[in-house]
Amino acid sequence: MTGPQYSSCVKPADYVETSGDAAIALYLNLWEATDYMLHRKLVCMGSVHRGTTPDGTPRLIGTAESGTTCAIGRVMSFEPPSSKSFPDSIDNDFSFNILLRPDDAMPELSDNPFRGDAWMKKTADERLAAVRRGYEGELLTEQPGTPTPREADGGPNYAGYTSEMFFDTTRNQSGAAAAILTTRFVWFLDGTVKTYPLTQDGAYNVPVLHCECEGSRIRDVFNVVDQMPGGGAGCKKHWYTSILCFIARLLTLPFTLAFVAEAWAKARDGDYHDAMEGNGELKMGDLVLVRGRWVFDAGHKGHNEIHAVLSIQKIPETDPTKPATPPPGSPPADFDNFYRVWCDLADQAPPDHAPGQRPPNMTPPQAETYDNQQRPDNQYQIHPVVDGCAPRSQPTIRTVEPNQINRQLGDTEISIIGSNFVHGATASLHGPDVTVEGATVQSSTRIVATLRIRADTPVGPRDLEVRNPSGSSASLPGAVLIFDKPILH
Amino acid sequence: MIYDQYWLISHGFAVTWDNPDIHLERPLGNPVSSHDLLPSTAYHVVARVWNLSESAAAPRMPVRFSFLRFGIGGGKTTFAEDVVDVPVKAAPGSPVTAVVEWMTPPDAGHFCLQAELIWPADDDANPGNNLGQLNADVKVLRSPALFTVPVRNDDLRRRRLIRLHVDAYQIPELVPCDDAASDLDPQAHLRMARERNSIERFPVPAGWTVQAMPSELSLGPLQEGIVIVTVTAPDGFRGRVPFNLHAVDDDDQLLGGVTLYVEGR
Repeated sequence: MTGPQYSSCVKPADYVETSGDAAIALYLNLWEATDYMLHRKLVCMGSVHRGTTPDGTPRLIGTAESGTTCAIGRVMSFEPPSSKSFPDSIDNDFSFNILLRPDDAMPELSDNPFRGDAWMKKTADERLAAVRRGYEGELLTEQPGTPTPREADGGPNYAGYTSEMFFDTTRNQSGAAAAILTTRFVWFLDGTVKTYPLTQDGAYNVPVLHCECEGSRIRDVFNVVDQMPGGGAGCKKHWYTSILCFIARLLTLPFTLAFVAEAWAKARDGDYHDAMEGNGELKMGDLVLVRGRWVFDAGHKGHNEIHAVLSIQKIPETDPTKPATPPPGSPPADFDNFYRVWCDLADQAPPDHAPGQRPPNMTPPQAETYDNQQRPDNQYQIHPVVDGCAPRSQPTIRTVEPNQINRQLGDTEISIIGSNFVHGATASLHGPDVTVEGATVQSSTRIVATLRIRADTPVGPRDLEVRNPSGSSASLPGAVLIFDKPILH
Repeated sequence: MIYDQYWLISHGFAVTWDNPDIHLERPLGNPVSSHDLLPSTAYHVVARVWNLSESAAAPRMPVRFSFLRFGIGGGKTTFAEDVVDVPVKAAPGSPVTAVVEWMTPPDAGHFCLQAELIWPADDDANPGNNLGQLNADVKVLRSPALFTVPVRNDDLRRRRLIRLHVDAYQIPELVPCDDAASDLDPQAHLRMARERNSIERFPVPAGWTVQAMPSELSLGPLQEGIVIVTVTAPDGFRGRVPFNLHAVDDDDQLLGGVTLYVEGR
């Protein structure tokens, strides 16, 4: 499953701060507001990859190179579209927040009731350093080139979002079992973990990674206003076009409002099920792998987040005696290995696609998997021995007749001699200006075809390739030599 | 996913109990028959695990191995577990194999082996195809060949009428991919697969007789009965023929089965 992605992100250098809040712009210019929310407020953050700190400790490292980012954490809270009121409800994304794993390495940053007066509040830099010590902390930390606006204090943005951790299990938003809570609830900057009675009141905020499954409302409303008179990018071209567009918008306002209202009502809410692997529901406390686009959202103070979420996979925790993730206090290498296994395997999966349509922009592992999945012998739905098929052996090319062709003779019919040719096989010559047409498999050992050759076709040897419908292919270097010899009349 | 006889039969496919996804090796890398295993001997049990999902991998998936006494029914003993990282369908490294060591019980004979993939049902698009069973026996034809198959009623409370069916199904040779119609819609693809693997296509061959005595058993809770399967071959038969014995109860629920190979030399 692949969740929908309607928005696009801009490179940090291309980000342009929009005057005023999007909500204000919403009233003044719906096109401007929706265009901003859809195309300009998300700043591409690149992606993260497994690496090491200067002292050799494994951890995620940010990179400007774009790609799908993978995060593993525990669901802490939900923000469904129904929780928003007008006009914020124009953004009908479904959001949830995850506490990144391993949470014992994600230090406590504020409001710990057990700290008391003796607790020295950390400086922004110290808190940033603390987050960075966490294996996945890079996902929360401010990246080079992050634009303003950012956190209200203007300091390093260690975490845009936080969720409350309650010591009272009845109020605990993580939903995790008490047995887990007693061993993972309080972290200290020195890396130690302590447990406290579950009856102890109190809560404190912990940094979480915000994840958004996109709804279609912004896109749908944008599409409406973009088509109406006075909408569109052209309005901003000159001062007088702005005025003309404004007048046009005023004149057509009743119609625009009617169409917008219809689009608003019909818009599809963001739904995590669109991205969910398997049939299950997402619950507080679930340990999940989330893949998607890593962005900085400049639309609301500024937060790192995964937006849009492409896939969510629950990590099974079926056996309480065998923790799904390395337990608190495990060496970073253990979690690094855990992250590698889960995320590398998830990254092999090609994005959703219509049958026969190759998804664009696949990574090399995705492309390799996609190509394998298209092979006829991988079309089974039950079991390879029940409804699979046997791949044919590779075709081979022994020779081509004739294998030397005078370009002055023009189009020339050739016979390709070899083995394991299959009906529907294609033939092609590598090199400039010679096409192969009308390839016909006469038998499993012979293909006839016509080479389109002109008097100015470059001379020289050409490699020949034959490809069966199953995808198996054979090539013969220098199979055909094009030469030039004047024909005397 | 593994070759799961219970799921396949419930969806209209004939099955063999000689599971193509489970085999034994001793030493590792040297496949051996599951027939006539040595007592108190270490074998490697190898299970091949697939993923039908093109989008969801199954990392760190436990594969649990059990043995049962030969026959149909009977309690199982789980003896080992392996953990495998199963990539999405057709990804490099797919399918994966789970391997465990198994010390055979001290009493001689042979056993039924099960490999069960452990994955939460909610997170599995098809949780029904995760239990594979290897249950096969071989006899050299001595006109006739006689097999003794214990049949057990595992139900703790209920008497069951158990009926036995025989067919000669074996996994058909795969059609070459270039001949397979690749543009079929999924329903047509399934229909063709069912036709190729239907029980009706694999009756006991002409000239053979296979008789299970008795062909019906009424067994009380946890009671065991013995079925003698008599296989008579045509004169001068050379080669190897499988016969599958399936047991179903009065609710048409599949209880298990065994594949019996007859060899003529």
